[in-house]
This record gives sequence, C-alpha cells and structure tokens, in this order.
Amino acid sequence: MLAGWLSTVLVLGACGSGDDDVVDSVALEQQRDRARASAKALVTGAVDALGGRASQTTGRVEGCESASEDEVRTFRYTATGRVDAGAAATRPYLDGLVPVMEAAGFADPTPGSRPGGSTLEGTSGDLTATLSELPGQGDYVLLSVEGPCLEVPEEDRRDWQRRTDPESYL
Amino acid sequence: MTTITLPPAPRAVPLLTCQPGAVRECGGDLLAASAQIDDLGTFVAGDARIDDWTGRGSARYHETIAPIGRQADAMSLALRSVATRVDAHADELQRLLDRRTDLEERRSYLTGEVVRLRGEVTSATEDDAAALQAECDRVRREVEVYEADVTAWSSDIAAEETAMVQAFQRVQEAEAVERIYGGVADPADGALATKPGSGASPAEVNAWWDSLTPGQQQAIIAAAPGAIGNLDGIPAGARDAANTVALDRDLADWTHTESLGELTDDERTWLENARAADEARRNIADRVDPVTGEPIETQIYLYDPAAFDGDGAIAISAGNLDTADNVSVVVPGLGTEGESAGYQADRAATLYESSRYLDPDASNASMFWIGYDAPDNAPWDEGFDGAGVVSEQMATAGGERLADTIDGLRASRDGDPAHLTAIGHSYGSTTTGHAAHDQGIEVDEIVFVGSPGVGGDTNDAGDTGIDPEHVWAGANSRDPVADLGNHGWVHGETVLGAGLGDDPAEDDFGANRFEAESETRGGAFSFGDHSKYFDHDTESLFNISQIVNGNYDAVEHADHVYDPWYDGVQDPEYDRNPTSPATR
Amino acid sequence: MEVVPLSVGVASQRWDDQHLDLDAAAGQISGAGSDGFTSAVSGAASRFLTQWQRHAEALGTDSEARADGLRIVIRDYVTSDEAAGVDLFLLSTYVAEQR
Repeated sequence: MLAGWLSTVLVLGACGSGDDDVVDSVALEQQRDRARASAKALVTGAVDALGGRASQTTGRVEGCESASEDEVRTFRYTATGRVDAGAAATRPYLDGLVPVMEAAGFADPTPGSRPGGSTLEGTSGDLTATLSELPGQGDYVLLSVEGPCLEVPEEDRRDWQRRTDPESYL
Repeated sequence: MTTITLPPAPRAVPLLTCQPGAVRECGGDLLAASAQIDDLGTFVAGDARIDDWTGRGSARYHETIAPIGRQADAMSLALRSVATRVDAHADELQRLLDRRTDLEERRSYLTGEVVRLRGEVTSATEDDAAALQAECDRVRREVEVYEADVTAWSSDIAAEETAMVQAFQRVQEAEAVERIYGGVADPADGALATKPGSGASPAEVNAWWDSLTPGQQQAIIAAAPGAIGNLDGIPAGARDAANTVALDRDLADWTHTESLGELTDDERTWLENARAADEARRNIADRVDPVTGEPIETQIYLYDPAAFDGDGAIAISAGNLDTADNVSVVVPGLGTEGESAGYQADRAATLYESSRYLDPDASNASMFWIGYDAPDNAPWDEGFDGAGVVSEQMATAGGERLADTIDGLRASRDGDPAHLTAIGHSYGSTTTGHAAHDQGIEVDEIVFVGSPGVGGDTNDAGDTGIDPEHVWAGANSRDPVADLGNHGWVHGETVLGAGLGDDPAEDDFGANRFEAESETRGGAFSFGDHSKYFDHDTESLFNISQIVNGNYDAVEHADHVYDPWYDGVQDPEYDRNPTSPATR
Repeated sequence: MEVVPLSVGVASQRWDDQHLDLDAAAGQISGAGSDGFTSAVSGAASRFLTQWQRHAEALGTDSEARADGLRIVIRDYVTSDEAAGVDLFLLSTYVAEQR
C-alpha cells in the first residue's frame, strides 16, 4: 500500500514551472508559418545547388517538456525535408549549401558534427536551421527548421498534442 | 570537311500523376469493409441461428437467412480480392514513380551531354573529329537505351492500369460476385481450423503461422483479424495488418453509430480507446526518421479497446519489430490506460528518434505497451487522497502479460534475434520487476526509470534473473515517485505493510545507475520531474538510448542513492548541474 | 400458436447491430476515395466504390428486414391469447427497436 508513503512526500507542486512563460497559442501558430516558409526557401535552394530533388517536405508540432504522465507543457514546430543529391553533386554537400543558408536568412552558418555525419547550423531570429549529411547512409542532405519551445495555455495542450500537419510546405 | 553526327536530345519522361499513399489507404478501407461483411456471414452461420425456436415460423426464418449468409460470404471474398489488388497497385505505383525519378535523372544527364557535344562540335577542328564522333556515338547509344527504357516504363504503366481497371470491373455487379465467389470456401476457414488452442506457446503459434500459405495468411488478416491481431507468436507485421483492419472497422462502426446518437456507454468507451489508438499511430507516422528523413514505420502490436473493463489494451511500435537490430518495450505506469496511447506514442517516438540519431548504423523499434491493467488512481491526477491504495497485485498480473509479450516477440522473429530491452517507468518498473523475477524474461537489458520499487521479492539486481551488469536504473533527484522505493534496511512490505519494493537506484540494489537529471528540474520534489525521462535532449533519454543500442561505454553513470544508518536518504545527484546531451 | 422464446428477441437486436455495421461499411467504401489513382483508373475506381456502397447498404437493409421480421413475430405472439410464460414481459421489451 502506497498511500502512507505518498503522504511522506507532500511537499510537491503539480508542475515544475509557474505560469510566467505562458504565451498565447497564436505564437506557436506564427512559429509554424515562419518555420515552414524558411524550410521552403532552404529546400528550394538546396535542390538548385545539388541538382537534386526534394521529398518529405512536411512539418509537425513536437512536445518539448512533459508536464505529467499524459500531458506536455511546451511545444515547438519543426519543419523537415530531404534533398537527394543529383549525379553531378560533389561531397561534402554541406560546403555548397552555405550560400543557400545565408540567402534564406540564416547568417554565418556554423559547421558541426552528429553521430555518423556532419551538420551546418544557422539561426534567423528565434528559428534554428540544421542541414545534415550522413555519408554512410546515402547521397542526400536532411534539413530541419525549428523554433524555441513555447508554453501554451493548459486548455490548449491536448489540441496541440493531437495536431498533425501532413501538407507539404513547398 | 568531316561531318559529325550529333546524338538526338532525349525525350521528356511523361508525367505520372498519382498518390500511392492514398491508394493504399483506399485498399485498407476496402479490406476493413470486407471484414465487416465477413462478420455478417459468420453471424448468419452462428449467432443468427435460433435453435430453441421451433415450428413453421422458425423454419421460414432459417430458410430466409441462409441466402444472406451465402451472399455475405461471397461479397466479402470479392471485396477482399479487390482490396488486396488495390494494395498491390499502390506498391506498383510507387515503384513506377521511383523508376520515373531515375529516368528523369538520366534524361537530365543526357541532355547535358548533348548540349556539351553541340558546343564542342562548333569549335572542333578536323583533328578532333574522330574522337568527337566516337563520343557522340557513345551518347547516342545511351540515349537509345534511355528511350527504350522510357517506352518500357510507359508500357508497364498501361499494363498495370489495365489490370487494376479489370480487377474493379470483374466484381462490380452483384451477379458477377455470385458467379465467381458464390459457395466458394473462404481460405481463412480451413487455416483457422488448424490454429493451435489457447494454451499454445508462442513458438507453436509461430510454427502454425509459418505453415500457412501467403493466401491463407492474407485471408485470416481480412476475415478474422481478431484471431491473430493480439496473438503472441504471430509476426509483428501480420499483427499490424490484422489490427489495422480491426481498428479501421471499429472506427467506422462506432463513428457511424455515434452519428445516429445510438452509442451505448460501453461503445462510447471503446470508441475513445479506438480514437486514441488512431491518434497514436498517426503521432508516430507523422514524425520522420532522423537518419533517412522518411516517415517512421508504425506497427500496431496490440489492439483491444474493450480490455480491462474498458481501460483498453494498446501497444504500438515506432519501427519494425520483426527486423530491427534493437527492440525496446516501454512499460508505462500509474494512470495509464488506452486513452493515454497518444502521449505514450510520443515517448516511443522520441526513444526511436534518439536511438537512431545516436547510432545511425543500427535499426531500431521502440514500442509502448499498454498491455496490462495499471492502477487508475495516479496521485498527479487525483491528489494524494484520491491516490488511495496502490499494491503490487496489478504489477504481478501485468508481469505475466509482459513476459508473454516478450516471449511472443522472441518467437515470432526470423533470423538474428533482436537486442531486446524492457523499460519500466513508474509503476511500470514494478510490473517489469515482477515479469523478470516471477516469470523470467528473455531480455538483454532491463531499465527501471522513476521507479517507486521493483517488487517486494526483488531485493537486488541479480533477483531479476538478468546479469546485474545489464540492469539499469535512472532516477531524477526531484522525482517524488522515485523516492518511494525501500531504502536502507527499511522494507515497507515487511515493516509497515506498505511499499512496492526496493529502490533500484540505491547502492544496495546493485544496478547501474545512470544520469537522469533534467535542466528544467524543479527546486524540490515535483511530479513534472517524474515525466521527463523520455523528453528529447535529456540525460535520461540519451542514456536509455545508449543502453537500447548496446553502446554501454557511452552511458553516463551516476553515483547511487544511499541510506546511512545515521542519517536520511542521500542522493549525490541532487547537487550536480544537469546537462542536455543532444538526442535529435 | 408456436411458442416464441426470448432468444428471438436477442437475435432481432443482433440483426439491428449488423444493419448498423453494414451501413458503416457502406460509408467506409464510399469514403475510400479514388483521388490517388491515375486518371486512367480513377473512373473505374469511382464506379466500383459507388456500386459497392449500394451492395453493402443492400445487405444492411436485408439485415434490418430480418430484425423487423422477428419483431413482428414477437409482437404477434405477445399480443395473442395463447402467449404464456415467465419470459413474456422480457420478450415484450424487444417489440420496439432499441439499443
């Protein structure tokens, strides 16, 4: 029986954070629109630069921080895509994509690494764009554009958790 | 002056406008509808018969219903055949689209070659002529091969379209259905007659399934999805196909009944569970694999919306359970029921994404498993008074079911066995502890996170039956539930008649404790910190993923909780600054 | 008059359930959609879906007719002078369609 044990840890709050950072859900909607617009610019530029073709150009709302066993407190929008390089493209693909990042408003992109590959990351306002290249996996570049985690009003949480966004942003 | 014959420009690849995904969904809808019609045939042959009614009225009734049963059986076979053909059509359309992409790339290359040669010809000298003509001839031959391939591709499209149209037209009219399928035995019936009884082991079930022809297997999936959808020993791919039919059929049935305002209370509960399962599969499929950038494959491994008095049983995987190198099963805890499936799916997805991100060369499948009757009275929902009594009884029963599930996962795989990890969170760790101690489970790793205790009979890691080197514990220092396990010499079950067993993060237990603090942890105990173990970019998800991948050297170990006789419980992690390792 | 057992009432309800389920199947077929097919196939697909929606509805209508038929049998019996037995009250609850 756990009840007696539970009473020993009564010094608890229901959640780690207060309501100071709660924003209107409109902010997340706006983040979605900006992330998709940036992703479109990046994918279009990458297709031109690599002579390739784009696929999986969609986005979604993702939970950041859980609030309880079936609820998420903060969310962000992530737009993703894949660009398969054309036969004439040469590695490392990311070297040729610095101008594409800059043209899309992501100034001074920074090279980095990830397990099995390399990255190129840049920021534009509160959006972060990451291009990845995984030479051992295939001749393509992955892209993601995402905003910061935002807390939404408690009554909107379930709706954001359930929301899907299957339309392509292209 | 030498004449150089240039190669012709390659023609454009004709457009192919179609959506294989939408076609596949169409096939799925038709298959679910065929299952519904099949149910009518089964009903007429069984429950529709009224054996204790006699006389002329009874005779007339039974004479009248027989043709309906025959018609339903024929119609279900006909619709199933079209549904199967539509599904194959979707596959073929995808292949044709892929071929078109290749052709377009070849055309782009060849067009460039032709333009280049034209340029070279204009500035060529007599000395260059022979070499340039040879080059032109080479490109011409490539263009000819390309042209032949475009022609073949176009022919294949036409042939496939004709075959699909014929499949639709063949059984469009009721007369044709009766002529072709009237009185034909359903291949599912014979196959199901040989199905092992309810006491059969997963290995026996698997042997039976493997003995069936593909046609028989497909027939069972369409006609009797409930017979195999939740049966341990059936491969996950077949279970998924059967459960997809069942879920789509249930959603259609109950949504229709709801629209008429005629749902019973039970049906309303089941519909909520079905909708949660639908949300869960979409949540996973909506996300992308961090290595390929393509949608994550989902498999519905368990679907029973009426189980556990309406709480429901649902297990869905991110990734392919039949083929993945690394398979993990996440067992959730207090307050979990079918309606929680959407959120639990997010956890399975984050674990999948993290595991793939950290080891792109290994394939993964992560499944959330709401397969037991968990206590409903979660303290974060109902407060401490409402939380009431939580005992090990449900964990014991759940442990049996979990052990059966693990046996099923092992028995149903062909080829190399998976590196398999059981992950118990919250009360799910008590359930996992019972599965390991009471039943013995054939897993490679056991991970307890946010554990209130792993069962009263499991006194140390060795009691799980797993090498203690492969028993792991994660506990956020601010998680109040992780603080509930027995510490030191105080054993709740024996001293106070309370408790769920030992804290697996304590030194005496002997498991590997890994870092599981969160950068957003509270200043004191907080239920929010009980729920962050699967959030991205946390120590916990990073370490669980490394364990799932078998990358033990990458796991960040933490010092154990200890309970000196002279003082209260000490957690060395309490004052450490949390980190945020990348998991995506 | 022949005795009508309670099981006739139960069967009438089951036929009603079949009717509901088949109407749902008909809706599923009509909603399956032919948009994903190529233009050469979408016409045949659309025609097939329309026709099969009718087939499924017809089966549902047949099921409803069986339920109605059994309810007539029950009504005739419970209103007759020869009706008797402890199940009579329960049987009469099946005279009207209900869930």
